[in-house]
Amino acid sequence: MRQILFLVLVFMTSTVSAEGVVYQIKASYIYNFLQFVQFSNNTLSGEVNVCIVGENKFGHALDALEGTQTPQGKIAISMFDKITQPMQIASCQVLYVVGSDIQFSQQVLDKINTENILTIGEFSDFIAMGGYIELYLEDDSIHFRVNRQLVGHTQFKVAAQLLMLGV
Amino acid sequence: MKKLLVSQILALIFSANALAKANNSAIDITGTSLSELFNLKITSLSKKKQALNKAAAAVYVLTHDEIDRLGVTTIADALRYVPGVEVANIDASRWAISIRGFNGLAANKLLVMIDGRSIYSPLFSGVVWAEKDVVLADVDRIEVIRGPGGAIWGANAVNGVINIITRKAQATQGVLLEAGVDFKQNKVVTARYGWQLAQNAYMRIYAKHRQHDSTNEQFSNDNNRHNQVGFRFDYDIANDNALTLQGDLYSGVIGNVASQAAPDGQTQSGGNLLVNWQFTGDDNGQHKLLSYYEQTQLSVPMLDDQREIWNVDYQVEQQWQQHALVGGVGYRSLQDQVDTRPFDFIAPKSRHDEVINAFIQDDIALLDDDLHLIVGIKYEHNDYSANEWLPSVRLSYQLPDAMIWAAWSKAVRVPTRVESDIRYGSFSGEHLASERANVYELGWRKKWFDVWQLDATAYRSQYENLLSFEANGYRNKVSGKVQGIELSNSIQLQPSWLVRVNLSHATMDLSTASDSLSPAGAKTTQGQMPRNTAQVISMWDINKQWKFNGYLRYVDKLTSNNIDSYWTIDATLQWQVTQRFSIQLAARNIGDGSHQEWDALVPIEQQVMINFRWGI
Repeated sequence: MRQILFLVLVFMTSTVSAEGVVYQIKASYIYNFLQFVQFSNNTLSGEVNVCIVGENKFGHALDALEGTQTPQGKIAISMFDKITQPMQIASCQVLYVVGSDIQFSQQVLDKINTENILTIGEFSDFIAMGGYIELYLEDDSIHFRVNRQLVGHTQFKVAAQLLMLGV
Repeated sequence: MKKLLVSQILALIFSANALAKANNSAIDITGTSLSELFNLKITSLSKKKQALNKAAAAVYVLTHDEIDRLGVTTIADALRYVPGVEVANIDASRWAISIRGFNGLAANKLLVMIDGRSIYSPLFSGVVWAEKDVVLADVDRIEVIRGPGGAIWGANAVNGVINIITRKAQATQGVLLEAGVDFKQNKVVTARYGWQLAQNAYMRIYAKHRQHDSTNEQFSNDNNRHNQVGFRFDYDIANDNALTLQGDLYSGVIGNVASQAAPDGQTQSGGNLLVNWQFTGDDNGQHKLLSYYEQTQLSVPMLDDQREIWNVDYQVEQQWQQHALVGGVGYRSLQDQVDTRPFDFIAPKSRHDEVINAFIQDDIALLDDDLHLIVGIKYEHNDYSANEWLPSVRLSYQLPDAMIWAAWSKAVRVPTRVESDIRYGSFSGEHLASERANVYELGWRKKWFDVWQLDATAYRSQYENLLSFEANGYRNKVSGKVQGIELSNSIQLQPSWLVRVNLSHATMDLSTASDSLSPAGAKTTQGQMPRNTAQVISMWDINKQWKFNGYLRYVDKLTSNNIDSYWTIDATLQWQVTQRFSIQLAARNIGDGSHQEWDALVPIEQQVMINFRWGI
């Protein structure tokens, strides 16, 4: 209730910037999403290929994911600052588009089949453009929503638990 | 002894330095669940340029992560880690907890709330700590203000305010099982289950049991058992429109409740139901409606109390140009039945009281937001002391990497039921008035190199009308002042290693009216405040699996209680065995044998507790 006096920032135990924290949270979301997704067998080789497209704002946050076991295999991360050849991302199971550049995002989405690859974006029109998961900022927290139109039409399966959490 | 302990703690700190690994992450990327991620606050996780605490008051927040790693099983133990909070273990079941003096079993100048629900006893003054409990794993944070908070929180927030805030149900999903046991058969067992009811609607339920054996054979009536269950339901109706419904039921016993003829123990039971609705209106005003109902039964030697409280508070916050305005109104209804035995000394036996209040505060931002003038006043009407006005004026000024603030506040403590209604022969409480305080505070916060933050507060509190014992009853013939200085340092020695150093010094000088019979009483109160205290708290993340905390604490002597000054150490080692399972070893009061904290006859002994936690 009356926490007016408490509009405070607490002395924190970590020396990281706000953007650093945002991308650590986003990296953690990627890891969590992978616990709820089942990729079809023919795309699977014991590894889950997570592709990060655009400027790498994650810093070292992705180091924690590299090689980590998920139900679908170990996470392997690849970075692409831009995509010239669609072949480069053909083996991605997860594709994360960094930033809010609409044109760039559209180019990336045009090059792939969003029914085969779990696409994650971080600006508000990403779902409207055909992406699967959109991370957004609300109330000083990072939340996500899921593209309802794609649910049930993808090659990969997403557990209902995740769909329910994604507003 | 003292030297040995200091060198031990130094060795402990500096060996940690050599081994500390750089781990720059603010969160555990692979160990944080979706529901936790959902609730993480970015600003509170990041250390922004203006990361200095901006409140124009002496505020301290104990975070969830800290509570979690400290291995504490009671609220009292958690409060030991907050600078400026005097926590003394009276015996295995009772605590004396206060801020800036006037401590005791019924420390009456501190207001304590759980999720906005006051747990300050209207019967006795202060908090009956033995009957108040929460699941500490579900606590989001404990906010502590040293100094008066009457202009917002009303009467009894004279020397400080503590608000224990639990997590939203979203953040506590799934199964949590916790079991702790020490070598003296003290046990704490907690089970909690959280699940999603519908989209944006979450629920959790919990049950907690704790028991503690008596301290020793000489003092054998302080063993306790406490059982509590509760729930919390959170529903996000829309953006910025959230509803919370929560409640608890508890029952506990201290000592042996032998017979009605010679009762020597204590029993307590009760329950509460709270609803909290917060929404942002079309005018961008933030509205908060908090209402709760509480029923308690408390039975102590010579007295049984049954009590019902119904409380409703409404508050709105609105930004208007450079004014951040907050205002609110509240109503409280109390119905009780107090039976004493073997003879009557409280009259009337049953009473219905009402309290109404209204407050307004304006936070005016000046000089490009660098200067803030905060003016507030609260009006309260109660059936014991009629009208009370509680004003406060605060000023803060922002400097590069620093802030200074100053405050003047008036606060009152209203007589409680047992004080006001005592009637025994010619001894009566009917002429007792409110205790009054005028408090001046000065604060300075400074940050050096993103590594070291200092929070310094100096205060001078002038008290008038303090309660005194006279031949014909309670009167208000004690007055005096308390002045002191509080320093708390937070030093980030490594990204994974934080050290806090807290120091306080205070003096209390009370005097009595010339016709008073209470000089001895005033002297007792004076000698129950430690002049000096020191805390060194070290929190170190060794790696992802292991965490180690060390805590060295010094408390000065309490001359009135014949308690020597003491140094003692707590240490906690936490091992995250798997993502879902952790073991924690918590050793408290390590030192050269036992020490006394409040009662010279009750030694507070070493305790080594092992806690197991499963999160599924």
